[in-house]
Amino acid sequence: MKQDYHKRFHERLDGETIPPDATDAEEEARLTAYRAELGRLENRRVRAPADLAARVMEAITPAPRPTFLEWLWTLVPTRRQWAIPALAGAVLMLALLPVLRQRSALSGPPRMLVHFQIHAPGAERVELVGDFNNWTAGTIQLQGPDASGHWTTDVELPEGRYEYQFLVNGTTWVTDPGAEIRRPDGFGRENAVRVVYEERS
Amino acid sequence: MTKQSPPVYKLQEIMNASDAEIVAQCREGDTNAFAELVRRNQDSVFNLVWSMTGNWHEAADIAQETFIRAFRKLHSYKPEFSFRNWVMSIGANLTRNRFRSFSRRRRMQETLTRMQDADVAPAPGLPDEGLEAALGQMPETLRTALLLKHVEGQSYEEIARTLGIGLSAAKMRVARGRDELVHLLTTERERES
Repeated sequence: MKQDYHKRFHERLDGETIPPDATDAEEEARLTAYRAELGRLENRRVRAPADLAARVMEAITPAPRPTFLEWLWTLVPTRRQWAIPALAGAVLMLALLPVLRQRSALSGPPRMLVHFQIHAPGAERVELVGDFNNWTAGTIQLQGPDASGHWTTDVELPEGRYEYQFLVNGTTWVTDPGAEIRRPDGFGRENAVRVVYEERS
Repeated sequence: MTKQSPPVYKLQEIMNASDAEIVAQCREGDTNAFAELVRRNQDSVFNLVWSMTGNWHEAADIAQETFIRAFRKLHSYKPEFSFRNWVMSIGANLTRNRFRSFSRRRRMQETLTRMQDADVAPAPGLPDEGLEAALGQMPETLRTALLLKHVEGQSYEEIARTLGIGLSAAKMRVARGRDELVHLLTTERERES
């Protein structure tokens, strides 16, 4: 019975049913109170960050492609004496292209060796925890300390943006003091951000 | 030399076009037109994601990723459905996936450092502090369903589709969300008076 009343009450709020008893003053008062509070919610306007559209467009807009002449110009050596070796190199690359493509397809996206280090001379154990190991402790241990108190490790990562922190002695979270980019982690601390990309010449 | 039409005319055309028409334009290769779709729908997507995560920075990141994913999946969008609802369901999915690793991280951090739960970042520029406080105290599932119903004006079917839940669950969450919100606001008012 109570459940039916509750259901009917919310259907009335949705405007789905006509009240069977329009003289129920208590229900009318309750409806009025609900509509007033929900009206506050309906007037609520949250604005997205002002730069959101610009950030999206920057991510999806491809870099302008060079014209054919511009591309051709890049092939011309700046010094004349390099013309023959450069052309020979280009011919060799063209010949090797199918083989390189096949190798690249087999080996997947390129992976880069990324170096991490922290100065923690008094630490007994330092671990690296981040997006790349699903924030799981105990998977990447740093080596150290060396004579100067540094702990280091190298991790092979594909291109991408990674957030991470160091976990010292299994209990203390430390943001990489050498990180150029940091962002709040939602717990009152900051994650260090490392962007890994292949340097293309 | 012929004088070209000023770009403002083209902009005006895009601004008057429906979401589905702009999607068609994007599919034909006009990437810039997508900016208008982002502008029209960014507040709704951001509001949903922020409601689900309770974290302003995380919500900004996920909202950005939502639109990037939407752009890459434009070929699968069906014009008979609302673009806004479609992109919001992408945002809800992304948030759920991100939240799984987020929760894992939180559990681990709580265990190791005995840190307290994250504070919900305040939303700048929202004048109704009492309402914000009440929303902040509500369970995420109820808050999100309530916002979809009363701010986005979605039907129960649309809420169910956006959140990937059943129709009866959508109705139940909205009803319980209303009860909870009104209860919190009333209690707060009584406490103040």
